[in-house]
Amino acid sequence: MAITTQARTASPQPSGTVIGAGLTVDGEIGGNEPLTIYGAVKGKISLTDVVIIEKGSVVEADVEASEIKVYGSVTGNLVATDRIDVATNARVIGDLRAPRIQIAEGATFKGHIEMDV
Amino acid sequence: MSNATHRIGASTRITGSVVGSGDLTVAGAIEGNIQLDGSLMLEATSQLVGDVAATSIRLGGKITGNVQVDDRALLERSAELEGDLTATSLSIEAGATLRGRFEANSDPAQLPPARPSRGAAPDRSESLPATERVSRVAPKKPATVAASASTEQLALLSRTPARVRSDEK
Repeated sequence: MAITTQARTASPQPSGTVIGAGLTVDGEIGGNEPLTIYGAVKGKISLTDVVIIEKGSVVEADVEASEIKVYGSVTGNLVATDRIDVATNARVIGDLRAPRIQIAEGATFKGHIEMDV
Repeated sequence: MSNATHRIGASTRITGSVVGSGDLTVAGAIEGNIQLDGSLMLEATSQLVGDVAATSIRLGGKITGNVQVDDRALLERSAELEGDLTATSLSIEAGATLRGRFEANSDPAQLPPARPSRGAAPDRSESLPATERVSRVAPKKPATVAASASTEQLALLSRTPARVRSDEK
């Protein structure tokens, strides 16, 4: 619950990228600023900042970022240099790799988890 | 249609297509086509390689590709467009660069609903920014004539370094 509140107040950040509901990006997204997704992304996401996959979004992509927060649906492998949070009611099909990983109660997850040691 | 707003930040790069509805502001780079049911604003830092279809466009950045809008197009002083532009009306600020043809929408189906024939409806061009109002082409004129006329008109009107090449294709 604490995660949800945090993300809601932190996004959308004015300098970052926001893919709102109703927009579909098919391809590769790269950059070094926060990315918030309410819409759909297919392909690949590769950032050096936070990726927030909001409730209602549909992401079919491999995601690389410093931090990944999932409230929506992701099909793809997630790799974060810092941490991955999968929130309640989120749905992830794919492998997770990060130093810190949190999967909330009520989340749906299918895949492997790998934590760097 | 959703009223969502979308933003591609200045340090974001997209390779691929962007399709959907809502208003999209781009400050970063996109390599691929944009198809938008809504208005598109390309800020001065934006760089786009690909074709664009949108309801309207406000261009402050750089596009290499063809642009087709249903309503109006505004090229700001920092705009650089290399490609053909189709719109119902066009405004170009001093300093903008257009290399390509401009063609006015002549298909009545593509025109915005509020046309002068509806009596008291005000001419939309009055609300355009105080730049050179270039083209307000009567729907019945053939599109090709409209295109060459408006580009010549453009060249005359803009007391600017804007380079306009008419109909070399």
